[in-house]
Formats: sequence, structure tokens, C-alpha cells
Amino acid sequence: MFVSGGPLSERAWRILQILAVLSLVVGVPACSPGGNAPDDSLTVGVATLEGQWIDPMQARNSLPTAWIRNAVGEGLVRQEVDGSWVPALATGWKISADELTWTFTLREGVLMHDGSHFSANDVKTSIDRVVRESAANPDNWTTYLGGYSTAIEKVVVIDDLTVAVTTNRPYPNLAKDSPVPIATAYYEKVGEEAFAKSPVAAGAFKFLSASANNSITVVRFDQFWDEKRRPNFKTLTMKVVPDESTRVSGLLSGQLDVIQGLSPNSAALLEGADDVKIVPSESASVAYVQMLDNRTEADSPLKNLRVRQALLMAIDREAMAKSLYQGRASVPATPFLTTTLGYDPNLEPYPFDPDQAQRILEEEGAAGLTVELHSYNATSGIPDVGKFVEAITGYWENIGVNVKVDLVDTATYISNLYDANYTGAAVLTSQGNYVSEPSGFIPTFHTRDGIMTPHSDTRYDVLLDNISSAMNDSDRERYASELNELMYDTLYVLPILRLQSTVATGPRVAQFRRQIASPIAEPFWYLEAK
Amino acid sequence: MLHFALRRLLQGVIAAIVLVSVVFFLARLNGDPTALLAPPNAAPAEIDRLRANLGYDRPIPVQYIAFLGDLVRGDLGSSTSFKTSVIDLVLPAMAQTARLALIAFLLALVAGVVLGTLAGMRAQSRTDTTVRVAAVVGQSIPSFWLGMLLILLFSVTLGWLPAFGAIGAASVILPAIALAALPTAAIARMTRSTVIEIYGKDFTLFERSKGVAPSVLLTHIMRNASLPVVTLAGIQLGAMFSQTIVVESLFAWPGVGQLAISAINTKDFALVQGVVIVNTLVFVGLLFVVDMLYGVLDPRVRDHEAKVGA
Repeated sequence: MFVSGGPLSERAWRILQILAVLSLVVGVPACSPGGNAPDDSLTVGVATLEGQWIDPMQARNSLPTAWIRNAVGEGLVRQEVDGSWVPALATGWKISADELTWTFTLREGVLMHDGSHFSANDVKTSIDRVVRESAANPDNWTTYLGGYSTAIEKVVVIDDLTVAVTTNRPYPNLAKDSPVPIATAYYEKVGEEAFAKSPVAAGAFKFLSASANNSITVVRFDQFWDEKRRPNFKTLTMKVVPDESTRVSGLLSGQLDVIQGLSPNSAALLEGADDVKIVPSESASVAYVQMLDNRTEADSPLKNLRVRQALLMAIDREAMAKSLYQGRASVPATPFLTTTLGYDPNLEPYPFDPDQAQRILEEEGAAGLTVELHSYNATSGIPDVGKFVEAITGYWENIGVNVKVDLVDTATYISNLYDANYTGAAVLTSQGNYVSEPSGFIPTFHTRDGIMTPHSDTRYDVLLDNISSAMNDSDRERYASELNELMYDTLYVLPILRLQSTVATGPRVAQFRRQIASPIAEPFWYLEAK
Repeated sequence: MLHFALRRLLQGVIAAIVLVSVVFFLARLNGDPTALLAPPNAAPAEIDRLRANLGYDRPIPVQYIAFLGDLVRGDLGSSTSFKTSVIDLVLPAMAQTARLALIAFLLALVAGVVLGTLAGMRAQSRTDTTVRVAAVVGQSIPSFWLGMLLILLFSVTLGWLPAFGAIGAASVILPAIALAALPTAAIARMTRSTVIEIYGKDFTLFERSKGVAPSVLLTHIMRNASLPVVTLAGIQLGAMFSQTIVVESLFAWPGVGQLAISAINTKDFALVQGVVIVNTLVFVGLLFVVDMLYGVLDPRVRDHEAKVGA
């Protein structure tokens, strides 16, 4: 209708058309993809750095930044990739006859990041700091709220390489739970607040910079005491890339060298891709269903052990492991991980037998029972937790159980669990770094000290208290084995799957040996660049 | 004019306070974040101590009064998940969001106006049809999906542009396109409709019959067509600031959207409130600028405001 015919008008149209094309052409082939790191640096893509702790003493507060403890810090002992504990800054220790005082012999010739020599004073500084700050600012020191900060009586420096730590009760894991030593002179010079923002310790990496909710960068410490664990690249950056598909794209485009938080489906897609390796960590978490009604006075069919057995036998866990998790899961007999002290590989999981399950329900007068199944809608410990819940619901409905599913956000879910607002069943996960030690089951099994214990069976308290206080390794293992058997016999929680955590590496990574039972990509001592 | 400006600013501040108050109470309906902050092996007594330390053991009305007191002093509190002041987190993140939103907005404005003008001046032609179809597609494609396609094509397959991040000039291109698609389509359609309407008016016919230069004619048409386009563009810009939440998450853009998601997931009340306040003030500010621009573009608006004593 308004097409113009004159020559001047044509020029105007041409100008408008050129502008239109220019405004649409936004590809910039001349630009590089940008952000590809220099050759001597590696970038790890993670879903979150929630907590953003950069102080290796505080970093354990939050799983996403727990890697800082072993990167920037170096503990008295450390955990090898096969799960065994070996000496680090402490070469050995003696325990007093009353089992309350540990005298540590420290490693000579270790330098801190500021060039100062590591000494017993640095151990005292870090432990005193935990005790002092946990009392003054508990919200910044939540990791140590699990009993460490209140167990320490005193720390005495005997000489430069000898320190005695006295506890007020037997503490078998004192060496493992103690904080990483920090540089005393530097800490005293800059103060608490500045130290937390720019820490100095003795780890394989020095802290360089952090950008909130974005990235944390550390650089190689060339004078790190253990040559075998010195990285062969200069800079390591942890970059927050919340979306998994973008992390995968980042790996394929070369912007990322390692990606964490890979779901089984993404791992399956990446299998066989050029220059991409999938690096699993077995037994990184266990997914289970708590039967909540056993802690209440009210009558409930879920208080019947046979009913709980039936509900477990109704679930085809092998099929879930194969189809839902692409074979990156296995069927556990109890919530124990393969690395948990007391784990029994000969304990057979309950079989999948829906017919038997249905018969049991009928025999126990529980046919057609109704179960409320509560869950969070996302958790790093159970990929695709929505589908996990759907699968369990389907199997239970197959044997005539009415399932009412309640899926809420993680924050609301955990709060409700802590406040004991739920009845019925609740999906939960325990991750490797918490339950590699059987005392890690205290929150979910101890009737007095547990925060989410679904029962009132005090036999658990006896065993867990013994595990926490027995200083003899064989005693601890015996108690842990008994705990494992008790879990199997009582089934207050239904162990559904033991899950791998999966990481992928790109072409600039030669090798990445991960720690077993680790839900995150760390430690980085054994990450090698090409 | 000064009265008008002050009145709009006051309205904006009141809107922000009302909104953040609603968010304050809604966020606390489902409990507090203490359970998330405590380690799994913390004893119940230690969790209670942590709750008291954070102030969440106080009745909610008491917490609210304390919050208002801090707000008056300009203190938005401290983030429980990042352990730093909310202002120190939100302002740099808002700068990043503003950078992305403004670039996307400029892209949408230029592309939308040019395409809409082309289509309007050549109504019912093939150009017009192409632009209209593209506009429908642009308004239908979810930004998240478009973003994923852009990453797959330009980052993974061609290797031309970064897949994520905010470092370097090239990093803004893909997220800006993903964010600009919907507003481009909306602005193009509005421009087209307005241009068609203005082109049919008597004064346009008169100018054409008088042989007025096409550039002058175009200027007069665009001046008149700009009023509804400016209004729409202003609303689109404000909406962009909230729509960035999806694009920022996909492209790992360190803006307020990504910060808000993290804050909601961790029940970081102070950070959620801080994001809401800053976002509201930005949105209100943008609407204010649009109102002022309206007055600049159309003298009738200025005269009317002057007459009613605005």
C-alpha cells in the first residue's frame, strides 16, 4: 500500500534495509570465543560456590567450597584417593594413657605461603582460633559445631615441632577433624577479618582472588613440601556455571577443562566425545527413604518391620540403577558407603520381589495402605530426584500402596525435617564426605543427638556413642559393623541406591585421579594438565 | 516538572518498601535458614544457638521492626550464604545485569524500530510479511531455549563466541541476543502498527503532496510514532531486568538474577530482600525516565502537566 516508486525513496529503503541487516548480524567471526584460559591454567565449572568460603579452616562449612581445605590448606593428616588416611603435616602422634592428650610430631622443613616456617605454634593458632571463634561467631564456624569446638581442652606447644592437644573426652578422629594449620605471624598481623578474606596456610595452592557467586582462583605454591603433589599447572579457577547444559557446552568448546555436577544422562552423552574423559567417584552418596513414624507414639503400619521390608522389596533398585542412572549406581544393603568403616560387602541387599511384598502387606493387614512420601525437588546427592521419587511411587503403587507425594524446595524441606513436621516417609541423601565415618550417621540415627532421627531405638545411641569414643581401631570397627547390621535388621531407613559422582575432563587435562566417595571434584593434587 | 519528578520518586520509594515488606513476611512463612547453615552433625542445642546468633529466634514482627530500622540507615544487612554485606553483593551484580540489559535493550530498540519501520512503510509487501512472521517467532521462542541453541551453534560448533561468562566484549553477544529476541519482536510490531497509522494521517499526505524530502518526512513520522514505542520500550527495559534471571542462569552471567536464585535456594533472607529493593528501585527509576522522555518528545504532555500543576 505504501510502496514508494521514486529514486530518492529507493535510496531511503536501501538505507533502512542495510540498517536492518546490520542490526541482525551480530556474529563476530573475528572474535575468539574469549575466556579460554592461558596454557598453564585450568578452569573447573561448578554449579555453585555457595558459601564462598576461601579460608581453608572455614571452607568445610559448605560442600561447594570444601575443596579449598585441601587446596589452600594442608592438614595434620590427609585422605588419599583410595580413602586411606596418611600423615601430612603431622608425621606421627602418641596418645596418653587416659586417651585425652595427643602429642603430635610435626613435619620439618615445611614452608607456609608467606615464606614462614611451619611450626607447632601454627597448629596452636588454628585450633585456638576454632575454639574462640566458634563461641563468638557460630554462624561462620558451623562445621565445628559437630562437637570439635567443645571437645578441645587446651593446646600446648612443647617445641617447634611438637604440640600436645588435650580433649575433655576421648576423641578418636582428632587428627582428621583438626583444622589445617595457618601462618601465625600473618594471622596476628592482619587480624581475623582480613585473614578470612586472604588466607595463608601450607597447601599446594595459594589463594589469589574471589568474585562472589562467580569464581575463586588459586595459584600453585612452588615451595609446597610434597613434590609428588605439586600441580604441573599454574592457576586453578573454579567458575560458577549454574546450568548443566552450559557446563557441558563449555567443556566441548574448550572454555572449561573440568566440569562437576554431571548427571548420568549428560555423562552418557559425553561418553565417546573427542578428548573428553568421564571420571567417576564410586560410592559418593547414598539415597534412601526414612520411615518417619517410628519416632512417634501414634499408630502407623510403617512401625511394622515387615511392612517396611515389603516396601523395600517392592522397589526394583537394579532397574533404577540401570535405567534412571545409566548404570552409575548400585544397590546397597544399608546406608553405609563402601568406604564407611564397618561396611560389609557380603551383606546381601533385600531382593526385589513385588509378589512377596504384596503378600506381606496382606498378612500384616496393611494392604492398600497410604504413605505420604516427602522429598526435596533438587539435591546434588541424588540427580533427577523428581524421577527418583516417581520411580519409588510407581513401584509402591504397583503393590497397592496409595502414595501421596509432597515435593518442595530444599530449604523448606530441610527445615521441615529438622522441625519434625512430616509423617510417613522422607527421601534423603548422605554424601561421602559426611558418612565415610560411621559417626556421620549420628544426625540421622542417634535418638538424643540426632537432628533428623526417624526412630526412638536407643540401641543406635549405644553403638554411635561407642564409635565416637573408642580409641582402638578394632573396637571402632566392631561397633561400626554392629551398627551396619542393626540398620539392616531394623530398616528404619530404606536404602535405595548408592550413587557415583561424575566429573568430565577436556583435552587440556592429562589425568585426574579423584578421591573415592567424593561428591565433588577434589582434591586437585592429582589433576594434571597436558 | 520538579514537583512531578519528586512525586514519582516518592511513589517509587513507597512501592519498594511495600514490596520488600511483602517479601519479608512471605519468605519467613516456611521457616528460617538455620537448618541449611548448620552441618548435618550439629546437635539440636548448637542449632538453637546458631538460630539465636542470627536473630531468627525473635518473633517475626520484632525482626521486621529491626529490618525497617536498618533500612532507614541504608543497611540492607549481611548475606548468610556469602558472609558479606548485601550492598557489596547486589550493587556489582546489578551493574552486570544493567550492562547486559542495556546492551540487549539497545539491540532490541534499534532492530525493532528499523524492522518495524521497514514493515510499516512497505505494508502488505514481502518485507512486511517477513518481519511479521519473524516477530511472531521471536515472541514465541523461550529465551532459555534460544540461548541454548545460540550456545550450541556459535560456541560449540563454530567456536566463534564464548558459551558463558562476562569477561571480554564478545561474552555479552549471545546473552544479549537471547534476551533481546522477545522485546525486538514486540517493538517491531508496535513500530509497524504506529508507522502505518501515522503514514495514513492527513499531515503525512499533505507533506508528501508538497514534495517534502523523504528524510524530513521520515523524521516527522518517526517523531509521532515514537510515543507509543518509547512507552513500550521503557516497559520492556524494566521487564528485561527481571527476565535476565533466566538468561543469567544459562550464560553464568554474574548479575542479580543469578544472585537471586542462589539467595532463594539458600533462604538467604537479607539477600532476597536486597535484590527486591534494588530491582524495584531500578524499575521505578526506568519508568520515571520514560515519563520524562515522553514529556520531551511530546510538548502536549509537558503543557498538560504544567496546567494540572504537576
